[in-house]
Amino acid sequence: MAEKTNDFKFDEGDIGVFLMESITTGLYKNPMNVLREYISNEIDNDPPPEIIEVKVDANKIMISGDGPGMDFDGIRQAVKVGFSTKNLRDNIGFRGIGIYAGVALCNRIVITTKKRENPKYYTIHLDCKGLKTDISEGGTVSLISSLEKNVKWSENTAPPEKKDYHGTVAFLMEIQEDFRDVLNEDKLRKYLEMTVPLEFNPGFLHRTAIKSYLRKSLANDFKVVQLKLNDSPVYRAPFYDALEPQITGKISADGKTLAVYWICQNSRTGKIPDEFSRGLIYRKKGFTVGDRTTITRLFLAEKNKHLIDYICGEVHVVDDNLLPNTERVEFEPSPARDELERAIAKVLGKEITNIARKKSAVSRAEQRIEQAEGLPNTPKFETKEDWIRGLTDARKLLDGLKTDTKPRNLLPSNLKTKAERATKRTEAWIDSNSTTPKEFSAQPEEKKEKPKEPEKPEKDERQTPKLRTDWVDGAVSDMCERTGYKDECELIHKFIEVLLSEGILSNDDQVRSLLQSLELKLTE
Amino acid sequence: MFVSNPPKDLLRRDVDAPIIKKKFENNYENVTYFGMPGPEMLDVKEWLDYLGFVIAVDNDLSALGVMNMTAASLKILDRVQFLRGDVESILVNWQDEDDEAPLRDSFDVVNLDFVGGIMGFGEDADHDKRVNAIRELLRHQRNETTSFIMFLTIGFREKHMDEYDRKLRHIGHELDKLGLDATPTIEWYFSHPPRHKLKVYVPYIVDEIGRANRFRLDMYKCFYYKGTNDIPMMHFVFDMEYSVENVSPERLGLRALLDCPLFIAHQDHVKACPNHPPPILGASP
Repeated sequence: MAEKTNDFKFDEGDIGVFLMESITTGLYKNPMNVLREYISNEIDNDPPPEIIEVKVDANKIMISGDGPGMDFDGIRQAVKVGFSTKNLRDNIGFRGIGIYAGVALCNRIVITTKKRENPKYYTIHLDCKGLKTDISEGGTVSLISSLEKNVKWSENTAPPEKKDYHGTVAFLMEIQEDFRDVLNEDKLRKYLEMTVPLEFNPGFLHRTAIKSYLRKSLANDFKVVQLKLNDSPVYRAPFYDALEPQITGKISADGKTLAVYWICQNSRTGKIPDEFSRGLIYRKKGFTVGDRTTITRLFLAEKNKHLIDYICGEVHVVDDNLLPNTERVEFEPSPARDELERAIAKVLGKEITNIARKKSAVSRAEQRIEQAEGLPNTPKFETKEDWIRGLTDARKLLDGLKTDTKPRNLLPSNLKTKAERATKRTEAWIDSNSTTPKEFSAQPEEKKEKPKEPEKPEKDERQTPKLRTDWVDGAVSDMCERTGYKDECELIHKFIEVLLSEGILSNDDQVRSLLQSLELKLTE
Repeated sequence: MFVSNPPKDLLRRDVDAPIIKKKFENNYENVTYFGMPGPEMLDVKEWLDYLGFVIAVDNDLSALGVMNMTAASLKILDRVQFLRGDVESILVNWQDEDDEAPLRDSFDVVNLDFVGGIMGFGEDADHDKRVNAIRELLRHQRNETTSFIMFLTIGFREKHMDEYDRKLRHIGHELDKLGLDATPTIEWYFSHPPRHKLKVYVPYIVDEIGRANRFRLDMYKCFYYKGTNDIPMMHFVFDMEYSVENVSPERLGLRALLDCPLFIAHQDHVKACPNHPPPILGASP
């Protein structure tokens, strides 16, 4: 028989003002998150605002938006604590904390709002200092009596010509000493660039195509807002213009789309120089979750982390089961999150490795083509050693070019064609220079040794492993760059050296073949 | 609460706007406004074509919010600064309650609206706070060598009527020293409503402060009207011309000061007040 239970009766005296502190604490690890809350409250509106203005000065912050605004019922709802009419899954705001987000930050919050066709403006006056004093009383004050004392409202009649006007303005006044960082315009600009679903930087060439892709893929989750900070527009990264056209795709598991992404790679050699542009970032409903390290650490091993710096992009999470945690630094732990992370590791890990390998292959091929084009038609060798070195270099170059032109190489077709032309040119150059020049063949002691070298490479290489090791050095170094597996490549290098010294590998082709198969194993 | 006031609207539109337009002709983008436009920014809206940058002051927080929305609807958010606090304190301390200083060092159009009167604001020791604020304003304007137009709207404060009477008597004595008998004129002022005394007192004070700062009062006008809830108000227009050569600018003629007509603004027209003091005979000092 089930045990009989009795109900408690709760009243005003059961809920202390401490609750206010508890529910707002999570926001203050980075005080700028408070601004994000007010901005997201504005963006959560339907329809969202076209433009949001943020102004900071010596000691106050103003956030205004031309969203739908509120009438009296709206402001009554807004002053409730921990309640929200918003659907948690459809909106960004922080679980009903709404207008109280800035309580710890400042001494006073004033929010004025007007709804279209409503003849009145309504203003909410929040005495944050009073609330904090009550909290510091040691929890002896009830939340309701503190709210009644410190939260007020007033109304003003609008002139008839402003009947259609709508919007909301929030002032955070007398910012506390500990949180003055939010008044630093430069830091705030960086924060907003990184966090808010802003319009893309106008200098970003692929912005229209990406915006169009996101609008189509994200449907109702697609949010973009124009924002001005102290009258100057704020844009979203990337702030670097040398980027290849975007790669887009979906991250799915069991046929369900978890996220969509776009990635652009640096069209120049090396890392994307702007640290605020490179890497991948999570977004949910347009707002950032975590920072540029959050995704990287999911799927790139330590040795491959550098690859993320060659690309930039965003991963927009669409799965309703994935909710950002209170600080919005990651998604709340859940089976859905595990699923997302596994899928990201699989899809983006491959995508980014491919991009990096391709980038690396293109870069090396371009260098080799340039080298081949630079081979002099009638070379002049000062010494016999020069001639040998020149010929050896050309053969090394030819090996590389042959790799570039292989069918499974990642080079684009135009570059492959160029590499084929460069291969022919290099082969012809080697043919025409492989005979010992007359001036050197007249010297008896060198005559025996040097001309033989190109004619009988197998024999020579067995006898002179140093020359072979030099060749292997470059090849292994290339492999390391392509794959990112530094430790493994060092092992392979040592292994090859042992095989060479033991005479187990006796010619170039054997070494090359072994290296290729090992690289294939590594990347698979 | 927004309540339209037709006489004030008329003054803004038909008196003040043409004066600004004429003074800053073809250079409107450089005109800086400093004032207390109120939540609906009615004066800014009326003069918008002639203003470049707007510094709006209000000590009411909800008014600041509404002002922001008004500025957004006027599409001037990128050329407006809001300051919070009493305009007198802002002019004296050159910063508002949030430690924010005006973004311009001087102004071209200043609109001060002292509903409670030019005197008698605050405690007795602080009763000349508004006059001090005007003094600080002129000091800043002199430092930046900026001529400007000042609109001054004031209410009546009977408490300090003695100060107005004292100043009128002083003017009478000054004229007496010059051999002019202004007694009938001064007596006329004592026996008529206080608006006539203010018509003399306010320009006299502004002229004095102006001259000490190398400003010549180029032109002034004064209007009487009934404001919201029929509260009597005075509206003054002062064209303050700075010149580096104005070491000792010409003072406002005392006779002209007493003779200056008072205009009355009604719902849809402005007319000269029919009651006028008797003229002072003799040469103008």
